[in-house]
Amino acid sequence: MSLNGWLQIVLFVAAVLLLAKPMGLYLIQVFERRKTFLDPVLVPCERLIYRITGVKPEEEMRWTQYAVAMLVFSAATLVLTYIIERIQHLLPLNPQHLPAVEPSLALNTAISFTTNTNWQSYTPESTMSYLTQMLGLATHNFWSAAVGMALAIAFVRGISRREAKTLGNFWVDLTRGTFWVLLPLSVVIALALVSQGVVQNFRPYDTAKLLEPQRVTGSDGKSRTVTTQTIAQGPVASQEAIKMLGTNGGGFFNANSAHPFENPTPLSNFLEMLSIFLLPAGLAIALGQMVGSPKHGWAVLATMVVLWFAGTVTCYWAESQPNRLLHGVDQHISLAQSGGNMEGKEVRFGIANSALFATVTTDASCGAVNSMHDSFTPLGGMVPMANILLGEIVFGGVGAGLYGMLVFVVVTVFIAGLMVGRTPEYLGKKIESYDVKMSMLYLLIFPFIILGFAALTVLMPNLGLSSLTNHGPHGLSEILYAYTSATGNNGSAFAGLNANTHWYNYSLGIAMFFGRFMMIVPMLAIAGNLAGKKIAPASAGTFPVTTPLFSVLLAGVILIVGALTFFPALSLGPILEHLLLRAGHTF
Amino acid sequence: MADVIALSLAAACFALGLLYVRGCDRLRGARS
Repeated sequence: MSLNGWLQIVLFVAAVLLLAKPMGLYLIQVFERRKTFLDPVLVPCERLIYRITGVKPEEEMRWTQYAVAMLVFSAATLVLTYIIERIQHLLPLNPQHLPAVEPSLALNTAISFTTNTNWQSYTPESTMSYLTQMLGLATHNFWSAAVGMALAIAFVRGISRREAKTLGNFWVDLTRGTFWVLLPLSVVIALALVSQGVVQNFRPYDTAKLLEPQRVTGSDGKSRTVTTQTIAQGPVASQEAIKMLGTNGGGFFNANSAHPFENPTPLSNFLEMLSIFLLPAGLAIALGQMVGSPKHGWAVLATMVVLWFAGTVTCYWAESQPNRLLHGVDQHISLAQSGGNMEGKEVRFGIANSALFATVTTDASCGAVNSMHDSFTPLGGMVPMANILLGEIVFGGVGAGLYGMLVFVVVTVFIAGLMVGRTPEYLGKKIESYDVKMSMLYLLIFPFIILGFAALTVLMPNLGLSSLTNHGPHGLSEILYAYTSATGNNGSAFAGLNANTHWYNYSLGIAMFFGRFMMIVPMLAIAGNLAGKKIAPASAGTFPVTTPLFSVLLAGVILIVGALTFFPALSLGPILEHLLLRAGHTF
Repeated sequence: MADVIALSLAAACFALGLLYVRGCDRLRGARS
């Protein structure tokens, strides 16, 4: 670990905290339909969309209507993406003449991008045409993030409203989130990325002649000499911006943000990480403002920051350690080398920015990577997986992180109420049987899908284990990570698993679908139920949700629920691998 | 055929989602 590395991490924390409040205040202006500086341009567009689609913006929805609208919208856009993938060979903007995407992969990808997961079982530059990337996939980067934001705002309305039956209008929230927040910010970030060297074009791929021809062995086992290299191009910057801002994470290229055309410099790397945390941090502040308790927003944000920082420190430490099996190799940090474990990491980012990016992207349900998590040390690789296993609530996906965290807040308040023997209250609303049942449904679906599918997969040698490139505990980690990433709607991968098979495409698709929608529904049910309640005045027995004690208790509940649920699985994967590595075994 | 299977699976998932909304709402009714 180096002073330079720590300074960059501290600078990043400071930037996130500085931007959180202005972002949060702007989000409130947008979703409470107050005046913004973009209104002269965007209000006419908004009215036109409502006129064309027949949406009545003043009509409010009950939680069930809100949920059905969200499901219908997601279904329609999923089918649209599936069709585009299947007929891309007939459509324009396909200079490489790529064929139609295979059905199981097309479905997996359509679900993946609809659910804000962006799991990619394919190599983008050799599978998806420019049109598919833009019209089929990048549009979902906007829509799925806007859906997440709308849902989070609906939940906050449920908390802040009293004796109300409705949570807002899904179509209005979706439109305003897309037009007022995601589109303008994406333009600014895309231009900043272009300034750093991220490409933006529609050219066919370049072919470069190698200075030194290479002898390689192909998949057929035959050796041949390679004299040229294909360099993929495309409209990358426009997709890169929303990929990070919307916590989507699906790379334009297979190497994702490790590719020099996606993430060329340390500054672009910093901007990309900042883009990931910008909206989740802003939403936490918006929560506090909308419920009339700004300190509560900061308390929730503080919990997120503490959990994220703990993961970053652990990952940075683990990756900075020398590999004891590399005898006679100088692995100490110096002016000439980064030291520690540099396998799978880019030299231009080094260990600190790779560990920081890994924790940011897995805390925030983004899934973009600038280093290969599969090449991390066992403990270093466990951190990204553990981040997702906590439920993607440490910042979390755009919107999804906040509403997931609020479900944990409900559970925390309930536990605090049990401790003192009073009916639990959250910001003046009594937490009752139905709220706790829905919270538990939300929390139990997540491990049920992850552990269920992972267990099923390891029992099937032909369908599940045959896709592994590593055996033993590392192989288990690869499978566990895949279902964790899919269910948590993260999308990053332990790259050693070949997931482009019928089994993985369908099972991961189902995991992504259930991990998104089956958790949203009980969350909206809690919001609808809370909205209808009266707000009781605070008394001496009310548990305050604005203090450090609350933040500590909330973090404790999150860690205990996560540890109790997943420790056995982790002990058979990365923890066992770590112990065996110390005994001299690798996998 | 593969397209039919894939789209049927997606349709089944969304239909289940709609039933799930109804189920959660009815559970709330059962409370009172």
